[in-house]
Amino acid sequence: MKKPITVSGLVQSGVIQNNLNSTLPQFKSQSDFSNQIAIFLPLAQIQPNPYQPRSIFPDAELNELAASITEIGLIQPIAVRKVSDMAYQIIAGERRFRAFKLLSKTEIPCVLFTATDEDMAVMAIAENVSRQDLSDYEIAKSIRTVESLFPSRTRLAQALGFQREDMYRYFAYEALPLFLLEKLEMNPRLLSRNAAADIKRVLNKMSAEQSEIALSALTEAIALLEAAQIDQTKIASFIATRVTQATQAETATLNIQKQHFFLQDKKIGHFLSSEKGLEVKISAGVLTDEKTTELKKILDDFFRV
Amino acid sequence: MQYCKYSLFPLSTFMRNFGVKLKLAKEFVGFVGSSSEFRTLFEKKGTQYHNIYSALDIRNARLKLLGVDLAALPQQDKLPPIINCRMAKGGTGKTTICGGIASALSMFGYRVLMIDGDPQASLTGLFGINWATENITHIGELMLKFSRKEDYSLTEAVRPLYEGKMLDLIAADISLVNTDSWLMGITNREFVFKKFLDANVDFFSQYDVILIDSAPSTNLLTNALMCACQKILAVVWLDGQSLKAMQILASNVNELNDAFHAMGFHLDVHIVANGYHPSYSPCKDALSTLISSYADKMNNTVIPHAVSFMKQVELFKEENSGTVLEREPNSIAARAIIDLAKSLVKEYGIKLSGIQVI
Repeated sequence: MKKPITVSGLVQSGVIQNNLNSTLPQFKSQSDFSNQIAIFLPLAQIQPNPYQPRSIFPDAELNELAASITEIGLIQPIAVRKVSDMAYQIIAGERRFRAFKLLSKTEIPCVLFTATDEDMAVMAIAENVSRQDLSDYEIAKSIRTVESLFPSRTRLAQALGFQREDMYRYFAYEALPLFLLEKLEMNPRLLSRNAAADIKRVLNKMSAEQSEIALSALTEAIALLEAAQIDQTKIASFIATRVTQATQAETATLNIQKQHFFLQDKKIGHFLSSEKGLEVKISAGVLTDEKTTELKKILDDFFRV
Repeated sequence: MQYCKYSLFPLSTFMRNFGVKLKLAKEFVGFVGSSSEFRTLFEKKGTQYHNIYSALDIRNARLKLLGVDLAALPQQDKLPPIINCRMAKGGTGKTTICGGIASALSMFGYRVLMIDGDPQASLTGLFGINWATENITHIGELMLKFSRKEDYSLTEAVRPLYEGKMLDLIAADISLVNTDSWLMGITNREFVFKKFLDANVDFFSQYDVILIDSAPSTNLLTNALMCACQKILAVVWLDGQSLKAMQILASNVNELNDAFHAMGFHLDVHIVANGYHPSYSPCKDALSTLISSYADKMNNTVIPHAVSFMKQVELFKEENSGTVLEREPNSIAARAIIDLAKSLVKEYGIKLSGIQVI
């Protein structure tokens, strides 16, 4: 059977060109019409931005906003995109939208924009990140939800205007233990991204035996943090200190000691005591057969006692 | 019926006895297993070797494979996607593409309603219906009665073509041309058709997709048919004259978008190139211009210049006419139509009884 003809196939084989200079009249896209003239849309047709990072909208703030809207009206229309017939999504202005709902209004002034999912995500985060009132944890969560829209984390960082290192600090939250994440859900401001990154780093350094001690130290530190008895920046060092103290207590009786043997200023072996045991090492050819037998006998006698 | 090599059902007025053989049926269902496994999907067919699979068979098989209980499916309450074949020039293949993808989409198992929106009634003729001798209730008459709040019956206006409501047609005749004269006096006339669809959402939501064959002229009826859509399907014949008509279409679409932007209305355009012939250099030039101008709006399938398309309509035996898929299912032309239909499922978000199948 003959191969079907496709545009991409013809372009690839060079039969047709896709970069001619003279082109036909263009169809204007929706954003070409976004002339900042506000239109009134029914509240029922508007949905919040699915990528909205803000999870808490304090009632007091909304009431304040609603009061100001009743007093002087809405100064700035909210920005929406059309997702289907009679359905719009908020690009920016969810608080204003909520305030309008609070006032039992049926319509809200909107400006239409075209936006892809990627744009929506970036706009929602970028708009909020620059504000003071969004916690690092909420930003981290929203970055996580939109991450899959981007081909790589580098591109994600570029789109959001973050330094790459800084973005990885936001990713540190996910390495935290479950109990802490639950606490963060309740109180997103508990830990900043720097504190989270420090805690992640100190937890990662721990060996398997130490991690249990580290976890209990962390639990203790969080309790102190909640009681405002410790600064969140000190938590990492708090854990590290606790772990070192505990390990030192264990190994206090068995200090690591190494003693070298010399023969005419040349190292020919050593004696090592550590928590793993005692080790005596002597280089090959130093001891004669007789001496070796003697040494074995001494050790043998030593245990026979 | 003579046109169809494979006959399934006793004949009724305009009901067509179209079905495809195993290989195509497997493609339409999207079945990857063996042929004997495939046959077990169809109860009545048993283990017979030479089977013909109708659009309804394929729909049922797809739903079965998806594990969907038909009775448990919720009643749809939203209008299905609308594909309006439109071009500001005649003879570019609007009707051929419209009829072709209609039969292909229903063979993919989707329930399709076609609306002939052209007073020339070529879509009606493509399916072997002679508008001169038939008693036809066209879309203009239905809209008129709707806007005058008179009684009308959609079920009587619709002609079933494939069994099981798989392909239905609201036919047209020459009197559709009168629509403009009364539309002139109606307020908000651009949205009469949209309102008509919304008012009859119970009826139209039975279908998975609605296809409209529009007239080439830019008038009140074609505007009204466009204003109910989100994206028109512009069929462009690959020559200079057809490309010139893009200018008219662009200004038409831009004007509507400009006028109704404040209502949140925006009409998009999807373009399919038709009539490509590898040894005609103007075809290549035209396609180069088209892709350079509208790269992000082009469908990847290019419909070839093929003799099978010319054989669709029988001049003196009109009842024998049929789409290229019905008449020559294994031709290169039918292949292009099937590929186009498949891509439109994605482009327009066509769902199987509300189920999005990827």
